[in-house]
Amino acid sequence: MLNFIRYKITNKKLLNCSLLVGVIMLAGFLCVYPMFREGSLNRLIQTMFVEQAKETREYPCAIYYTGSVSNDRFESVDKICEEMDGIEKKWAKGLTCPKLNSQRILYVKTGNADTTFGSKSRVVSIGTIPNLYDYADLLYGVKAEDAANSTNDMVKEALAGGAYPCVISQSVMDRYGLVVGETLSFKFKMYSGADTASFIVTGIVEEKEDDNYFWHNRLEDYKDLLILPYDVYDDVVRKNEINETFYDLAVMYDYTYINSVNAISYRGFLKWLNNEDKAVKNNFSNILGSYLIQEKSISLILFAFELPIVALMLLFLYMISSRILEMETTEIAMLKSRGVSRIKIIGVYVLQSSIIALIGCLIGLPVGYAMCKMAASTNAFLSFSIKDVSIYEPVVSMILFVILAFVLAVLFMTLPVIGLSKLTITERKGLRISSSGTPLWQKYFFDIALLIVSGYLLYNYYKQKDAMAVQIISGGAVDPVIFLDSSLFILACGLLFLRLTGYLVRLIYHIGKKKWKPAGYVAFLQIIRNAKRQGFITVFLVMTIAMGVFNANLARTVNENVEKRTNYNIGTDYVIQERWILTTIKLQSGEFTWKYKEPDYERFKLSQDYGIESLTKVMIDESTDIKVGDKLEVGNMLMAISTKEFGETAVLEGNVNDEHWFNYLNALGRTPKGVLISSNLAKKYDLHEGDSIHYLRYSPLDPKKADLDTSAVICGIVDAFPGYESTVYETQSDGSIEPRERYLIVANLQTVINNRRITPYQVWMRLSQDADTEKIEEALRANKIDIKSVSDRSKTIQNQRDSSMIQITNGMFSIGFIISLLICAAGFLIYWILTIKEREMLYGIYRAMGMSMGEIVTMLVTEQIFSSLLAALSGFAVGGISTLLFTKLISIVYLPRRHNLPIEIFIKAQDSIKMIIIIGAAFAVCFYIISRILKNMNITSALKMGED
Amino acid sequence: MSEYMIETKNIHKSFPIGNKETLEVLKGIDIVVPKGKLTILKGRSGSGKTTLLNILSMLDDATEGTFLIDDEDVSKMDSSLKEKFRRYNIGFVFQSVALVPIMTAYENVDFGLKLAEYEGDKDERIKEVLGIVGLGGRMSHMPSQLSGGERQRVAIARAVAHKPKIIFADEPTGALDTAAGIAVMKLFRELIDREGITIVMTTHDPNLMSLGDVVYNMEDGMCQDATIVESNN
Repeated sequence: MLNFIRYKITNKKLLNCSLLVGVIMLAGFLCVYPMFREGSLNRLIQTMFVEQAKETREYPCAIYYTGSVSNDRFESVDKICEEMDGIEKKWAKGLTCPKLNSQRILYVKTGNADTTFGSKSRVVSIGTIPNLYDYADLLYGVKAEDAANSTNDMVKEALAGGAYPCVISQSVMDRYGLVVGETLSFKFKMYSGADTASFIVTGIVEEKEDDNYFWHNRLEDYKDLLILPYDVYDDVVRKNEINETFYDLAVMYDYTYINSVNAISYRGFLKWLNNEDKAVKNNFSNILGSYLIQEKSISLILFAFELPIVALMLLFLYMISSRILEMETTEIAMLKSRGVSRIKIIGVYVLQSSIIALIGCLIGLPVGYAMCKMAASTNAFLSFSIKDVSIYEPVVSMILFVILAFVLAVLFMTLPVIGLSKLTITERKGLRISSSGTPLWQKYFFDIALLIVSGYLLYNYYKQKDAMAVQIISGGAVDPVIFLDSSLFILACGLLFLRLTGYLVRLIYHIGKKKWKPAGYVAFLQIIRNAKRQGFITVFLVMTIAMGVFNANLARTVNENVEKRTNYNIGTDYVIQERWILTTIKLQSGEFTWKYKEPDYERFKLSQDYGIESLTKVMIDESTDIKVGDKLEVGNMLMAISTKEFGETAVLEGNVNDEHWFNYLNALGRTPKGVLISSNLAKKYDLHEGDSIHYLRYSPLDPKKADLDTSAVICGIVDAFPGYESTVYETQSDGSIEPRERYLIVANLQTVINNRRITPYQVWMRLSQDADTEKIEEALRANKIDIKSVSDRSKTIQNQRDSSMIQITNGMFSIGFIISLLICAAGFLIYWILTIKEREMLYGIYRAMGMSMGEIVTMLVTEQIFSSLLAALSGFAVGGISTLLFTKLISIVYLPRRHNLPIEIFIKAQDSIKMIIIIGAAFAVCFYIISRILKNMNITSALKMGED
Repeated sequence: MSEYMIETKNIHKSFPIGNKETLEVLKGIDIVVPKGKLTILKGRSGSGKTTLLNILSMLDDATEGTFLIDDEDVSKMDSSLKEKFRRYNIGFVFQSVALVPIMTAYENVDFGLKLAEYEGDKDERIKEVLGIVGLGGRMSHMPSQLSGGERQRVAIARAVAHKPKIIFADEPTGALDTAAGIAVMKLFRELIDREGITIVMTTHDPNLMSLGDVVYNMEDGMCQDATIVESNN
C-alpha cells in the first residue's frame, strides 16, 4: 500500500507539494498562537511593572510590613532583625522569584526636641538603618560612626557632653533647617525627673543614585528621623526602656521572573498573606490582578485573529485536496466498482494525508517559531524592525498545537474523499452533471443569512460602545466576538459580492449574447457554468484581499491614532518637570504661607548640538476650579503659557479647531488678562468671547483652601489644545470608573505669576529629527537639574507600539496577511495551471476549428477579467466597506478613552499597492505559465489527448 | 473548375526521432478527393492515415509536396491564412467527440457558427442541423447528459452547420459501438445527399468501407489506388 501511496504522491508532485506547503503554513501559524501568547503576556506583565514604576516612582515589586516590639518583648535590635529574617523566609516560600534587596528601618517615635539653634521645638524620632552607607552617600559632615574623628568643635563638644551622634537626611535638614553640629535634646519619658537624651547631627546623607533597589521607603518619607549607628540605637533603646520600637521591612523581588505561568499563583499567595495579616502589604497585587483580566482578553483576541486565517488555510487544503481527488475520481470509482470497501479507500487517503501532514507539521514547528519572531518584530502593519524579541520563546504547548494542525490537516485533506468513495463509476456520471450547478451557499442564501447576523452584531456593538470603552478602561476583558464579527461580515459581504458579480456577468452575457465574438462567448460560458468549481478560488481571492485591506486599514488606523493622540497628549517632543522645593513660612499672624523657589531656567538651554529647537515654560494646574456666575466647576485644568514660545514649541494640527490654533495664541498674547477656554465649557454655560469667568487655585499646603480667585476675559474658545484632554476617567467610591468632562483655561504665564506666586512649571522642548533624548536627559542632569518626571514623545509612541495589544495586532495582521496572500497566490496559480492543463484538448479543438492564438488569449483575458479581476475588485470593495463599518468601532479596544481628537480612519495607498503588486505578480506568473503552455501546444497532440 | 475538392502532389511527412534521424511517415501521396463524395482513408494503425488527414485539414504541415483544396494551393499559406481557411471552409469531427463540455448541444453548434461568422439565421440553422442529426429534442442538453453516439452527432451537426466545403473526420466511429458507428456513417451519407458536402474520413473498420464513395487504402506511408464503391456512385 505504501508503494501505491508513494506512486500517487509522486505522480501529482505539484499538488502534493502545495498540500505540504499548506500544512507547513497551518502548523506554523497554529504554533504562533501559544508562543506569541506567552511572549505577549510576559511582555504585558513586564510593561505593567515598568509603567507602575514610572507612575509611582518606586520599585513595583515589593512586599512590606510595619512591625512593632513592645518593651516587655524587647531583647536587642539583633533580635528584631532575626524576627525580620523569619518574616522574609515566610514570604520567600510563596514567591520563588529572587530577592533583589530588603530594606530594614528601625525606629522609635519620640516627642518634641529642643535644638541648640533657635530653640525651636521639633518633633523627632530616632532610628537606625543597617548598612546605610551601602545605599546612601554622605553629603556633608561625617558619618555618625566616625563622629569621634570630626573636626567640628560643636560635634566634639556635644560628644564630650554625652550626646549620641546621628546623621539626618536632606529633607529633614530642609524641613527643620537643621545644620551639622546642631544638638537636639529631649526626654523619652514625660515625667519631670526623666533623663534628657541629646543627639548631635554629624552629617547629612542622601540616597545613592544606584541604590540596588533598596529605597522602597525613601528618606524623605521619614520626615523627622535622626539616623543613629546600629549599636548606638541598640544602646539608646536598651537604656531608655522605650515602650515600643518599630521596624519597617520591605523586600524587593525581581519582577522579571514573574510571568504568565506563575502570575496566578503569586496573586493567590499575596491574597493569602494579606488575609493572614492585614499589615502585610504589597505594591504589585493590583498589577497581577489587572494582568489576569487582560490575560483573558489577549488570549481571546489572539484566537479571534488566528481563526479566520486558519479557516482560509483549511479551505486551501480542502481546495487542493478536492482538485487531486477530482483527477482520481475515475480510479476511486473503479476501485469501488471492483469491490474495494469504502473504508479501505478512505484508509488509503487517510494514510496519504497523514504522511503529508506529518512531514508538514515537523517542518511547521520551526517555521512557526520563525513566524512568531517575525510577528514580534513588527513595528506597524507589514513594517518589520530589528528589536529585542527574546521574550518570545518556544513553549511546550506548541506541540499540542502541532498535533491539532496534524488532525485538522488530515481531516480537511480526507474530507472530499468521503463523498466520492460512495460512488461507483456509473454514479459518478450523475455527480459530474450536478457539479456544474449553483454553489450551495448561493442556493440557500447563506451569504444573506451571515450578513444579517453580522449586521445585527455590529448594530449591537455600536449601541454598547460607550459601556464597552469604560469596561476596557476599567481593565475589563475585551469581547473577542467584535473581531470575529468583522471576519464574519467580510465572509458574508464577500459571498454577497460574488453572488452579485455572478449576476452581473450573466447580465452582460445575456445582453450581448447574439453579438459576442467566439472568444467572449466561450469566456462568459466558462465563468457562468464553472461558478461552482471556480467558487473556491474566487471566495479565496475575495476573502484574502478583503481581510488584507481591512486588517491593513485597522492596523494603520490604530497605529496612526495612537501616535496622533500621544503627540496631542504630550503636546510637544519632550517635556520635563523638575523637582521644586516648597518652603513654608510662618507669618507674624501665626499662619503659615508657602513659597516655591524657582530653579535656574537657564540650565535647560543646552547647546545647539543637542537638537533643541525651542523650549518654553508651561505651568499646569490640574486642580483649578472655574466659576461661571455662581456655578462652580471643580478639578479642571489651568495652563499658563508664554504664547510666542508656546507656539514655537508645542505641536497641534491646524484643522482640529475652528481656526488655526496660532490665531487663538495671538488673541491670548494681545490680552494679558484674557483666557482661552475649552469649547465644552463654553457650550455648557453658553459662554462667548468677551464674557468673564473666574478661576480659583488652591494652596499647595492645603488643597481645600483656595488662595486665589482671578477674574479673566474669554478671548478664544478651543476644541483642542496641546496637552489637554477633555475627558478624564475617575474611580468612584464603589470602584467603578466613570468619565468626567474636564474644562480648560489657558492663561498668560506672566499674568498667572503676577496674580499669585510662581508654582512649578514644566519645560516643553521641540526637538530636531535627529535629537537624542537620552543625551539631553544626561546633559540636563549634568546641569544639576533634579528631574521629577519626563515625557518623551517618541519613546512613548514606541512603548505603545510595543504594548501587547498593539504588538499582537500588528504582528498577527502582518503574518496573517502574508500567509493568506501567499496561499491565495499559490491557490490561484495551482487552480489556473490545472485548469489550463485540463483545457488543453479544448484549446486544440478551438485552434483546429480556426480560432487564432490571439483569440484564445482574448478568451482567457476576458475570463480572468470577469472572474479573478472582478473577485479581486470585490475583495477591495468588501475590505473598504468593512473598514468604514468596523474600524472606528474596533479601534475603541485600543483607544477606549474619549478624546478631543476623534478616531480617524487612516487608509494608506501603499498597503493596497503592496497587495496589488503581490496579486499582480501571481496573475503575471500565471499568465506566463499559461502562455508557455499555449505556445508549446501542438494542435494535433492536444487533440490526441481526448483519444487517450 | 476541377471536379475534385482536394488534389495532392507528392506529399511527404517526416518526424525527427533523435540523433538527427527522421521517421518518414508519408512517402509521396498523390490522391484526389471528389467533390460531394465520402472519401475514406483506411489502413492499420501507423499507416499514416491520420497524419495525411491532419495535413489535408491544415492542422499540420507536409515536409514536402503540395495540395489544392477547391483549386486553391493551400499548402503554401501562412498560419493565419490557414486558420481563416479552416474557420470558414472546413468542418471537423474527431474521434474524441470534442464537444465543449460547458456548452449545451445548441450552444456547441452556435459556437461553430460564430467562429465561421455564419451570416444566415443562426437559430434556424442550429435547429435544422440538430434536427438532421436527430437531436432536435435534446438541444438544451449538456454533453455529459448525452450518450457517446449522441455527442458525436452533435459534433457532426457543429461541423456541418456553417456549410463548409469539406468535413474531415478522424476515426469518427472509433469510440462508438457498431450500431452507433453505422448510424454516424448513415448520417454522413444523408448530409452528402442533403447538403452536397464533401467528407474525408479515416477509419480502420473494414465494415464501414462499403459506405464510402471512394476508398484509399494506406499502407506504410503509401497510398494505393482508389477503390470506387459502385453501389454509392
